Amino acid sequence: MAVAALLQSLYDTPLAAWIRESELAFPCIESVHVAAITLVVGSIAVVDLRLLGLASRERRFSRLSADVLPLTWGAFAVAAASGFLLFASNAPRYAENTYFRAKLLLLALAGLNMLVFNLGSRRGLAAWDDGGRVPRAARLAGALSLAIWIAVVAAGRWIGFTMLAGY
Amino acid sequence: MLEQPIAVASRWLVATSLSRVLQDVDWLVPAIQTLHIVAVAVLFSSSLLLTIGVLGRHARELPLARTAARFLPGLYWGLPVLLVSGALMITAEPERALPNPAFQLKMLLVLLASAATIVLARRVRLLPDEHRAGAAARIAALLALALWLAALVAGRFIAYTLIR
Repeated sequence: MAVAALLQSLYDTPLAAWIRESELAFPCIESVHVAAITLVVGSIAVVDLRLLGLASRERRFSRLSADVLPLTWGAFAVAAASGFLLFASNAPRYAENTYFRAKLLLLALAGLNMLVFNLGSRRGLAAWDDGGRVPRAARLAGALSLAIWIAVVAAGRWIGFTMLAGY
Repeated sequence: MLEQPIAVASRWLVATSLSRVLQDVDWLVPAIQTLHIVAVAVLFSSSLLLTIGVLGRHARELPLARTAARFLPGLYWGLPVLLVSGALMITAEPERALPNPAFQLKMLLVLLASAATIVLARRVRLLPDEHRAGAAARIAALLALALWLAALVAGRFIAYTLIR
């Protein structure tokens, strides 16, 4: 099957072999991955808590997101790149790991939630940007985002336990 | 020098009923680790956003003291959650942590990061209505951020520095 061949050729690349065989490469890349994920989760939580009306209420939503979201995206790029390297080191096994698949699904859900929020609730932003009551759909988007990102962390931790690499 | 007491403490801890429960229920340790990482997310992101604020690049429309009031609680609440979840992870597998040089280094880094954070908090509270932070506050903020990052990395290396 084409996917299996693709995963195997990723596994066979010199870079993947180096990450697999070096003593330090995997834990170093993993440290970068964890640091980046904590920044994604922590920074997106600042925006989510503002949507839920639990924090940063004194700040305009638009200003808060302009301050925080570039950081979230930067950290996400680092998390995705380092995650890809960890995946490449053992691609065929990760691809069949249930928690790895769950993590990818959760990331897709987080993206979908963001898309729906940007296309929907954010349109009426002028009405609630300056501390007004956040509409229910936007509050729901904040709650979903918090829950999904915590689940992403959990799935990542369970990958470590089931792959038995660096648990 | 400390090897003997550490070994004694590990043997005692691993035989406690709490440790038995943590060893026997196989989802407990990953669940506690998940909580631990979420608390790291709160603490580390709070430290970063506070540092950006001290450097004058976050919430410019507000006095710095308000940014500090927003993000210092993330450090104050994150740390106790980390200490409790960390203590539970040690209880589950004392020999994985206590004699481990990565763990010992991590504890030292956490102490230093906490000290830098306390210095930063005092500096920032000293200027209630000022927008700008002095050099001492900037250095304390950057130092605390770097030390929290180093503690995070040392924590990840605990898994790779197993003794025996």
